[in-house]
Amino acid sequence: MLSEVGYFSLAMALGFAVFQFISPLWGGLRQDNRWHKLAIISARLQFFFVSAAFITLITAYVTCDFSLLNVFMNCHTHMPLLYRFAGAWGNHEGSMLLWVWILSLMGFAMTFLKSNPSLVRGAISIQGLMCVIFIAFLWWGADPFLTLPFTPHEGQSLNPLLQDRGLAIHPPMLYLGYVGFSAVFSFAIAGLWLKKLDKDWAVAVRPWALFSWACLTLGIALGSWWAYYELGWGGWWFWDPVENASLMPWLAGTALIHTLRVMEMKGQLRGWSVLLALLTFAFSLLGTFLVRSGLISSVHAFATDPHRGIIILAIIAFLVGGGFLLYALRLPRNSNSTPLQFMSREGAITINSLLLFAGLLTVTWGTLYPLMLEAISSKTVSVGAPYFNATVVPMLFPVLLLIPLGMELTWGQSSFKRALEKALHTFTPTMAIGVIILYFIDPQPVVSIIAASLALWLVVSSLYYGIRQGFMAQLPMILGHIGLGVTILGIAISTAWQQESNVTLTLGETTELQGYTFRLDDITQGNGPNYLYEKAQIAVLKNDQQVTLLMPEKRLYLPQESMQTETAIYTNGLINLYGVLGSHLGHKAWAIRLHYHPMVSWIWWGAALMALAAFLALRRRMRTI
Amino acid sequence: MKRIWLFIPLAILMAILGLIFVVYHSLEYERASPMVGQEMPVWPLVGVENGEQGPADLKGQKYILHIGSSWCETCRNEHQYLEDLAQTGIPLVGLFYKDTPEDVFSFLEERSDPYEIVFIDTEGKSMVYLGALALPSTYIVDENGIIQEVISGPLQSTHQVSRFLP
Amino acid sequence: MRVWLFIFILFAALPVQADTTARLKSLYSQIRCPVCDGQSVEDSEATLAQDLRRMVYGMAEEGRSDNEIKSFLVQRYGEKILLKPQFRWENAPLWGFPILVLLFITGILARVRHRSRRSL
Repeated sequence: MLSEVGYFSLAMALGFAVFQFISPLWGGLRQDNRWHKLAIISARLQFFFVSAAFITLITAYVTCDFSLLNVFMNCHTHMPLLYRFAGAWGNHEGSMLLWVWILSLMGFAMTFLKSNPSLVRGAISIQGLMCVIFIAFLWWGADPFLTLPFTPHEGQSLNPLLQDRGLAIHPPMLYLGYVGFSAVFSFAIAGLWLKKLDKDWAVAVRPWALFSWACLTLGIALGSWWAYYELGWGGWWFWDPVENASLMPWLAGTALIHTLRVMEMKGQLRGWSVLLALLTFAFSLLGTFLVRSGLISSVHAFATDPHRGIIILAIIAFLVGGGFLLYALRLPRNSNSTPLQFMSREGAITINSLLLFAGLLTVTWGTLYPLMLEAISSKTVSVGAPYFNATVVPMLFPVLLLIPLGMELTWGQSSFKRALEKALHTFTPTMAIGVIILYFIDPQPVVSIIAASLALWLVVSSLYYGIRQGFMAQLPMILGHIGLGVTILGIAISTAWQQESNVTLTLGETTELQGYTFRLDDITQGNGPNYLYEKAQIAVLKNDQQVTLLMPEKRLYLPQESMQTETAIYTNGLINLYGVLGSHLGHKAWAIRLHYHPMVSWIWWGAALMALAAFLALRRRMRTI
Repeated sequence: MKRIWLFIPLAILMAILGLIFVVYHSLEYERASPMVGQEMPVWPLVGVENGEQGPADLKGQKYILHIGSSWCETCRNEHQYLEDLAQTGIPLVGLFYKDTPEDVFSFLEERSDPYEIVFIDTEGKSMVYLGALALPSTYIVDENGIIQEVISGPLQSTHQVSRFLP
Repeated sequence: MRVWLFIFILFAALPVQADTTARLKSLYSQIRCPVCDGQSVEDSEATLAQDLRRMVYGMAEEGRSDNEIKSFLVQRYGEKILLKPQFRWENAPLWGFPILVLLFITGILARVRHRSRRSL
């Protein structure tokens, strides 16, 4: 039953998407406004039907309708309700449906725009075209509503790694970011086609870019937070190809939201902004391809099928290739704006956007290099964290130096000397204090001390700017940069001064780490909803005062019989204590791994601040529309 | 003239997509182990029966080295293929990884002993010395001590190695 | 450019880590766990990763150099076991690319600056 409802909804959505694509074009040709009304109605109905399809799949998951192949493969009646719900997008087909739903949502949202009618119509049309392509792909390439010839009584459960609260919201967030940039792409194509790439275009596009960027930031942060507490290695970023795939559009998007600001203010950086607008979504698509094609396998590649990869590749070639072709042919010849002033805020933004672009290219190169080498020479190499840490990280170092300076520079012609003076007001004391304090704590990694101090300077200089210029006027900018500073501070300090200890403890035995005493109090066993567990109780003491009780678990998930560790994390905002229960070594002894992570949670708090800043900027923009 | 530059993104995109397309068709997911063509490594092992120093002592004759374990379920399941291989007359060397002599002997008594020689690796170093990825793995070694083939994971049938048999 | 010089000096001046734990940690993080997805043996609890750690530890105790340890592993598992491809001519495109990219954006910046100067 649900399968038919799903198919019906998708078919209706496909039909309306075709109308959404065609009618603005036709209306433009005929100069007839009724066609534009039709486009708007089609876009809304299309969204309604895609939503209906999506809700149908969720219903099938929640009610455990095993007549659907997809539900049978990924759902189990013993799974808690939340994971049955989230299971709907914890697999290839379901996640593609979520992808399409967000694509459709963006088109739906566009129908409520009042200003720039011709540009908006063009964007709605392009969004409709993408919906046609991706609904068709869903239908023929990734069908979530396939039925089984008979209805089994019980399904195969979701990968236990994915049965987690953080992961229930990580994909929707990440996809809102990825696919949100489709709107930016549509506006870029429409702007190129209509040759309307002026300040108004930038004003129209920026809210979409801000929204998507904020969601992408949150999505990436949630993913890395999940890796931190679920994978149980204490790491939060592995430069895994799939992580890189999400970082690429983020780097492009970060450059984009800044160059769009320049375009809004000064009308400059037009070609560069449009290129970034196209590139950001191109990298979102490339990310989807890399993850879904199975070229790169990891936790994320739920299903790998070579044909799907080729279809997605063809879609990228058509959409992005078409976009770049339009870019080459229709980018307006000469801008009326004056040449860019180098020593100005826009100059600083230009430099930083180029550095971000350099980082982006390097991440892409490092991610694709092993594949290319293997194809050309049949040699295999791995390009992992050490490569990226040695190349991308130093490339992004000067970005950090330039931000405070850029904030002190004004738009247009501005005095570099004055800005430097202002920046030095905070630079000298912050660096001096930061370096001295950190050196006193632990002199070991010099780079980390400098990075942490620079990050601190970014925070302090943003505050200093706010104090002098008023916080309210430029709150999003100040907050966003503080967020970045907080994140980098967390990264620098946690990687430099983390401690780890692998111990074997018997009941009642204690061990020390960084001034904390850990005592193994008890080990209990029991049943969870769809797993068996072994849980340790580790009392954490400091100066004979109990700080907390860590309760890491090991779970044996049924029916897959796969073993998962559940970490226990204590945080007081400044440091995290992290415990993992290892195997039973006999004679009442267990292997236990303990980590000490100073300031690691600041990484995610900073990301949350950055996203908040983008949402604030978006809200201000909404008021003026 | 300057507008030529605007085609660069398109050109790069097409180059990348073309390359991915080629890669996509030419990728071999199963790659031969780098150990193929190399000499069987030497590392200290205790032969249970005759006090040999390691598989390298068998230089001069063709043999099959099988690394497995008495506690590993998949190794138990493929045991029948090893018995079949032993029938063909090629000497089999059994290497028991992270195992104890008691467990190994009771396992071989319970099933059967197809091995010419048995080594027991109590320390668990053999996997890395052999460049093995999976337990069990099967190595086919020629008269000169050169590894001819590595089969990672359980044997599916004796045909996998038949072309190397005498 | 001065910024880059500064960073270069910074990295060049890094003290050589003599500490064994630090050395092992850095070695572990450069070795890929061959049966995991892109993780280093430092980040993995797979049996093979544990074996590899033990092997590296043992070799380091014997006083073998980092390069000896790495080539021991490369001989057995292929170049793929190293997360950071070695600085060799074959890997020139990999390591050269970031430098090319930096040169490229420096070129663009020089042009932008030139135009901005001319307009003043």
